Amino acid sequence: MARPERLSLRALRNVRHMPLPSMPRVHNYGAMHVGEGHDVLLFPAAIRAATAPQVETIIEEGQSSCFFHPKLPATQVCDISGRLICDLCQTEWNGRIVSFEALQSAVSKDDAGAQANTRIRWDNIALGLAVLPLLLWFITIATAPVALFIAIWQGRKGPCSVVQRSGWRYLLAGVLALVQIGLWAFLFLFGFSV
Amino acid sequence: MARSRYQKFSGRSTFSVQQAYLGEDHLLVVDGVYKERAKRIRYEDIEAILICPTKAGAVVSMLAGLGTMLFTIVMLANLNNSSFVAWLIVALVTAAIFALGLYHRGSAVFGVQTAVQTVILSGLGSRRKSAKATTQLAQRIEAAQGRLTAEALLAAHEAQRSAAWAARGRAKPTTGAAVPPPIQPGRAAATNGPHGGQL
Repeated sequence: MARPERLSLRALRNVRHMPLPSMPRVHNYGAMHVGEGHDVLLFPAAIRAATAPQVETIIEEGQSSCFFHPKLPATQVCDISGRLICDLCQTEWNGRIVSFEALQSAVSKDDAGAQANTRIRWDNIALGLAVLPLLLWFITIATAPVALFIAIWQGRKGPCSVVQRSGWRYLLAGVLALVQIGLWAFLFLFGFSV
Repeated sequence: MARSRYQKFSGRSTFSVQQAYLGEDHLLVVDGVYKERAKRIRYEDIEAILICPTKAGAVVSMLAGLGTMLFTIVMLANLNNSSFVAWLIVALVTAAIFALGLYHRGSAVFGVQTAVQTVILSGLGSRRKSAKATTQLAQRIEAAQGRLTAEALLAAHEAQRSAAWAARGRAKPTTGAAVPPPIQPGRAAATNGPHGGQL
């Protein structure tokens, strides 16, 4: 495969590249390069690389380059920003590989938790444990207390998603778990005694 | 309840739980049900918005249209039968799928390209949604980066061509209409052979 041009776009449905169009907004472009037409809307960042000072490249063909050092090959992905970084840019922080820039940003804003890119959704786990076992109802004797425990234990900490601020999942999971526990208690107290 | 600082951009699709949100200075892409993985793409880093129309939506719409016709015929054939209601429901469902396909104007793949990655937003799987999302996202990106003009783009192309010629150690040829080489006397025009004739 030919080495992609510097001013190029990646196709969405295959790995081929197409050169930048001559207009910022084009329709049905690139079919002769990548096999399928694309509607393209370009922004100034697309030509930023071309206007930046050129350096001698040392990366091999097909290798990804570091976001901060375009001439160096990328060896890691920053766990905070998601950027590809080289050995020079990476460091370890709280057991995660991060770039110095992302680390500085996280520390200065003092919201490293909010910047983290992976979170356990305890609310969905609690709700799943309260709802899905209903398909095999007899296992709810074990799952309902667990769901209730998670709803209480994690629910006090508040929503665990970056974007969802409501805690209704914890509430619903807790109520469903309580109902299931109540039904089991009723069954043990009165159902088996008959 | 604290108000979210993100505005919903795209939701879940049939086969994906990925969601996207518009932040103040970045696009947030969230994926996963029990383990949420977030990817932040700064508006300043976005190079292009790409939309690739696909045929899947048209095929589904066509099949739904054919199904609607077929089930309508079957429904009318069972007009006095007890199964009429069942066929009516099936015909209505296929008609709804057909109408939804027409409303969404076909399927598409929506992608956002940066210098290091292209992120496909699976929640924007139709042409209608893609067009709306492009307008919404382009506003934010242009607020961060400014608008790319045709002149700036042509200048970048020109700079790239000059750099390529400089790398080869030659001066860039002057622009002008391409002229074919003159026909040499005594050589007949080729009419056969793999390249149009035997030279």
